Amino acid sequence: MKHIFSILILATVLSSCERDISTEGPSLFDIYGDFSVKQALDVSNRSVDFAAGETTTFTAEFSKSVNWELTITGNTSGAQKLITGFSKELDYETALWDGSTTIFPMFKEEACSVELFIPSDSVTLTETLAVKTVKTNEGFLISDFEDGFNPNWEHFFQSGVNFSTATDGAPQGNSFYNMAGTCGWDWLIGMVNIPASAYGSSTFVELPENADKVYFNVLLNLPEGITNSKLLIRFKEDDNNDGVFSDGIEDEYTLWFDDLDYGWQQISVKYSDLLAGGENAAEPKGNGVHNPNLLNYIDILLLADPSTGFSQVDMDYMIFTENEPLNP
Amino acid sequence: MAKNILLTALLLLFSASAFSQENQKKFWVSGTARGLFNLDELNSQVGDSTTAPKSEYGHTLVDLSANIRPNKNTFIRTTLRVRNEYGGFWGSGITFDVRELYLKGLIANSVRYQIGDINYKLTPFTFYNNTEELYENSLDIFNMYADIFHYDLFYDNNNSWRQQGIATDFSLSFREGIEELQFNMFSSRLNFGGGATDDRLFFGGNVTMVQSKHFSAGVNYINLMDIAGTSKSTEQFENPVVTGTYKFSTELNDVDLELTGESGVSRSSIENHATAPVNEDFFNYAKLSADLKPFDVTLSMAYRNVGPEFRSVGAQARRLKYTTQSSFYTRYTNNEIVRPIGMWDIYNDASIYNTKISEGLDNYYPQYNNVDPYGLATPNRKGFDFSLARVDDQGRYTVNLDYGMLSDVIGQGIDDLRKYNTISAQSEVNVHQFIEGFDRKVLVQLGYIQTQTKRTSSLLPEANSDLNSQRINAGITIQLTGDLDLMAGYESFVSTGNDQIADRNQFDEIKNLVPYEVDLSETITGVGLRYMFNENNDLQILWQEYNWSNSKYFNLDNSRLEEKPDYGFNRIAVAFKMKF
Repeated sequence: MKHIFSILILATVLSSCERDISTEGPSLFDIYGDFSVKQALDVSNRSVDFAAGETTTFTAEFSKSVNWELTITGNTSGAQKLITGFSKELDYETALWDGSTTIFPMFKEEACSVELFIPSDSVTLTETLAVKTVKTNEGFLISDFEDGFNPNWEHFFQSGVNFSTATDGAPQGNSFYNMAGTCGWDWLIGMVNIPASAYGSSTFVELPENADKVYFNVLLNLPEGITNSKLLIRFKEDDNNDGVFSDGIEDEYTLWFDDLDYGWQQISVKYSDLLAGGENAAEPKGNGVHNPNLLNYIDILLLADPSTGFSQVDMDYMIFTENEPLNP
Repeated sequence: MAKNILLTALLLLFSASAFSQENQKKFWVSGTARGLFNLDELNSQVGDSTTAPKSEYGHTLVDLSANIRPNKNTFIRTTLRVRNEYGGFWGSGITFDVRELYLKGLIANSVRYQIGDINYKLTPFTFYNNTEELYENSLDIFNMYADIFHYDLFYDNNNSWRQQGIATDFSLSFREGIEELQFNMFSSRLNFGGGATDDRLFFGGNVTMVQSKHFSAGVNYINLMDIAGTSKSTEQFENPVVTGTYKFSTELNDVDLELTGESGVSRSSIENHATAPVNEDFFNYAKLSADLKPFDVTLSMAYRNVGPEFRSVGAQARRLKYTTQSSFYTRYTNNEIVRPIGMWDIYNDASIYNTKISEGLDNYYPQYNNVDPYGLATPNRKGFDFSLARVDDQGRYTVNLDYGMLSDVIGQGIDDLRKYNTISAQSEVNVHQFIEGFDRKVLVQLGYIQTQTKRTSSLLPEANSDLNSQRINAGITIQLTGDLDLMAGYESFVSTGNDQIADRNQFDEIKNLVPYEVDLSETITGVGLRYMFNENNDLQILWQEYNWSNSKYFNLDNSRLEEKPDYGFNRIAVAFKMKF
């Protein structure tokens, strides 16, 4: 019996130990009370060298969890990055900016305004920062049109049509490619042919073999009022490694756009998701395997019903990325 | 090619087995086999012409264990799993896996060891695989699927976790003073190092002093530790736990008394991390049991006080993952919304279960267990549990009554403490033993569990909590002929109310308290036939119907209420199970 009492006494002593904290977690008085800003909006890095891999974090703390919208706007370019969330605080998990863009154009080296808006309480907090250098994107760049039309590319334009580079409103850099014109006798208005040889080899050998890891990205713009444009992008592979694409016996995959939204938009497609055929999917005619590294030609065709008159689609920043879509 | 190699290996195994039978069982083959076929039908209460309503699937598999005893002190086992999905022919859908591999033996007739796959546990506060929600007290007709994945996930071994490493134990006997000192140790590897992740080891053991059959005491130690230098990471997680245990038993007249208990401390930290906190806390647990032999009644009373910052990864790891998405009929309705998890998934979906131990307190399902989601080691709980059990000495019935009255140790977000009450009544009645001359076995199972979380705040009404869950089940198994049983069961689960649920960051700190609400109602009805070839071999044909409804579905992933239409399932299943 004496053992029982000894142990009970020991247990009582142990259970009577005190802890030096009285509550855990944020105060419910704060959570259910009126909204207030406990820590103002702050920026961890006010002059961000994105090209060097730097990022910047926005921090703020509220009295309770709320929906919030953070908007970073380039003062010169008008570029916008939007970050939204529902939380009690902004931190590196919820509000980190790597220099990427949500609404084109992309950011330039410029001063930016930062606005944090809490819709439920109509509270706005502001800050500023500067983009010291812009974000660089890893990948195989086909063209950003900053140096004009690549002289090693080929093209075909209908009579009276001439695609050209333009500068007004480029989503990336200062220039984009303006594809526009009228053709009253044919669906094809103009075509650009991009051979792999323009990059030093008969195929795009820099691309990985695994089609699940390769993304084709391009920025496209459909101007307001244009309703008839159709864009076909063809990816022609040299399956038999003879240096040329042979129609009918080698794989040709396509992207077909006839319902683009108005304005600049990003198109990113995993190479393995490309389908054979144009408007209508068909069986590939070569080895039936998506082979990015055997890509021999990329054709870009602007089409429109000849009876509908003028048509236009603009293009910029065509790039292959690896493992993930372009994060512009 | 792989298939041919495997077939050749199997032939060699069998031929070796036949040969070895002449050689005093140095080699023998054992294993399990099962075949399972399900025909499921989703019943959506809103128009759903998008989701295919019916799904048929199943598999057959064999776990073939090669048992090798090269000498009297060494035993080796490897188990090969051959699985064929329903509809797979000529190699399609067939998989081959090495399911387990270990060797064990005895050194110098005194030290036992096991290397490779090990099942290990220590105490409920150090290293313990707590049973998942809804499994205990489930009816025979509903727990067949859970039993299958318990076997598949190595849960079916007495609350141990399956690890890969080494374990050893030995004991020292004494002539006087104390009877024995027992030593147990283990070490396992949870992460592979390299890249940005360190090697992570989980190791520990205990020393138990057995003074006599009346008294024993022990010390337990476990630690989960990242090994610095095994990767580029400079931050190392560490969670040592030290506890002391005791057990005292005596007999007073016709009453067997037993006092057991455990107390300990823990520390959880990330070395070289600028902002990670250090969590340190303690716990105390004691249980007094009295076996009133003349009445076939056992009474017990337990007290626990587990600190809010007590962390013990081996004891607080949960079997059931918190997920808002199952792998089975993931989406439904014409809007293709994500189908919410329910009791059906907990009973049937092995993909929502953990097999690995990892740091941190995982999210849990408050509707199913808000009282002690991390078992006895649930942090921030104190109070008493009472239990009364009667096992009829003639085997006619068992009755278990439990009552728990716990509370927070410290408040969450407010000084007011939550109170947690649990009432449970479970019984199994062998009806045939009450009726003289009735020669068919009839087993009736009845169960009722109610849990309540309640907090009343006079200062802040929004801080009030009132979350109630109730589970009722009733089942019957009737022997139709010698080996053929008819089984039927009904289970209802209802959960209503609200609470503030902790939303933790990567350091386990509560960063927010989210206003959780629920209005859940679930039912399962089932009827089936079971033919017992023998105790290791049965065939079951089952029909089950399930219904789910929750007018307040709260998604803890995004802390929001979401609208989820009612749904249900019908199932016809055929299951064959065998051990050999």
